[in-house]
Amino acid sequence: MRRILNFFLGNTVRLLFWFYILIALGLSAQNQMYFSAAYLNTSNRITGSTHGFFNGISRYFSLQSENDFLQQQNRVLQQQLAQLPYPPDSLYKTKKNFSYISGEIIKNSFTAKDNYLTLSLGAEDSVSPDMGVVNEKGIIGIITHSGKKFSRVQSILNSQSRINAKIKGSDFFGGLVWDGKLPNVVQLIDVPNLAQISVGDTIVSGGMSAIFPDQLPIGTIKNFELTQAKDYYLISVRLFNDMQNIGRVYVIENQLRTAIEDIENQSNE
Amino acid sequence: MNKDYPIFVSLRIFALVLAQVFICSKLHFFGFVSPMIYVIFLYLYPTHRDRHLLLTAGFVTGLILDIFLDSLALHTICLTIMCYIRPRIMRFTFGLNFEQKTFRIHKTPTQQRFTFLYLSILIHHFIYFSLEALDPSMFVWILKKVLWTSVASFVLSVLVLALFSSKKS
Repeated sequence: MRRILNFFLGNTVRLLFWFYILIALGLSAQNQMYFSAAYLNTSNRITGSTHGFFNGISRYFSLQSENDFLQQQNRVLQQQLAQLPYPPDSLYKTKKNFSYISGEIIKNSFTAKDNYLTLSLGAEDSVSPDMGVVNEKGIIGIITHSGKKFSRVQSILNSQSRINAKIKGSDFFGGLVWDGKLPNVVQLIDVPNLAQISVGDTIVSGGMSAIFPDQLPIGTIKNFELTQAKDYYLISVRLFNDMQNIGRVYVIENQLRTAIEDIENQSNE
Repeated sequence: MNKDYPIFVSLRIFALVLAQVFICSKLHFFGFVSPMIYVIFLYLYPTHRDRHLLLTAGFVTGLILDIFLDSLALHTICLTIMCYIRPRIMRFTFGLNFEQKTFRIHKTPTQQRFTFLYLSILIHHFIYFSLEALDPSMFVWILKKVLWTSVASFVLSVLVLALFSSKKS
């Protein structure tokens, strides 16, 4: 007994070190640093407010360019509105199921392997997990957790991200993933080798999930190759979005999502 | 007044965390290099202070950084490991001088101080990026990140230390 006691007393530093390492590994493993909704809400409130404060200061200096951009975007939308044919088919009706909530990314990240962003919208703004985040240039990510005032977005620049996408003008779908290397290039995998593709082709969202609507812009094909088994393409996609500079974004809410999930769950059963 | 009082040490750590979260993590040299200057924590922390306290300070500092930077406890793990092996790095860099009770890091030759700082940064970054990648096939990516980020971190750290060091009398 005395020996055991002596061992513990003689190795307190080592034991404390392993104790802290185990806690840290536990934190990392357990839902990536977030033990519970209560913890997230507290940490999100503190970090979100602080990031929001500093972001507010830095955004103040780019108000002029922000104004110019909004004016330009407004002009493009007005032009699109004037040319809108309002086709009387079911496609138009489907698109109306998505509503957009405007917000701002107050903390950006793109140098890590798993990047998460902080969004200035939370449950108070009707934002909830599994909603898509986009801007006018394309897809940005998916909300993983929403606190009262802020939300956490899993960026498309995240090794765990996988978004349904397809080659524009065809029905060949694949999964959009990121290899963690370049912040402006993602990979489209699992596209069958039957697809006719060439460098420069546009990649858009596939619309196979309830998160993003169909045909949202993503990027263009930078280069491609066949996998070792020669049955699928591995396509490098250059993003339209500059992920290093994200400000205003839109959260997409699918109003029919519950209904779609219900019917899918019933089919699975 | 003695600069090693706990209140001054805590204030310095707090300033480091703020500088890391709101300045350094927003810098992206060449699009992928974000310097990590908080490693100078190992340089600034008093030398012969209780090691339990050093480990706890490292753990708490890493945890705060992880909460602010969404980095999945990576900073916590790296800083705790670095605090644990700090005496070995110091013994390697400063030799027998380190054993003396009167040893003060700012009184050692510049070359030794820079060696200690760069070695700490290099080991820290290697652990950090290896844990981040967790994939042997990304070894080249890890080396590239370690090399560039450690140079950026070292240069910025030296600048910060020069800026806030008191003049020698």
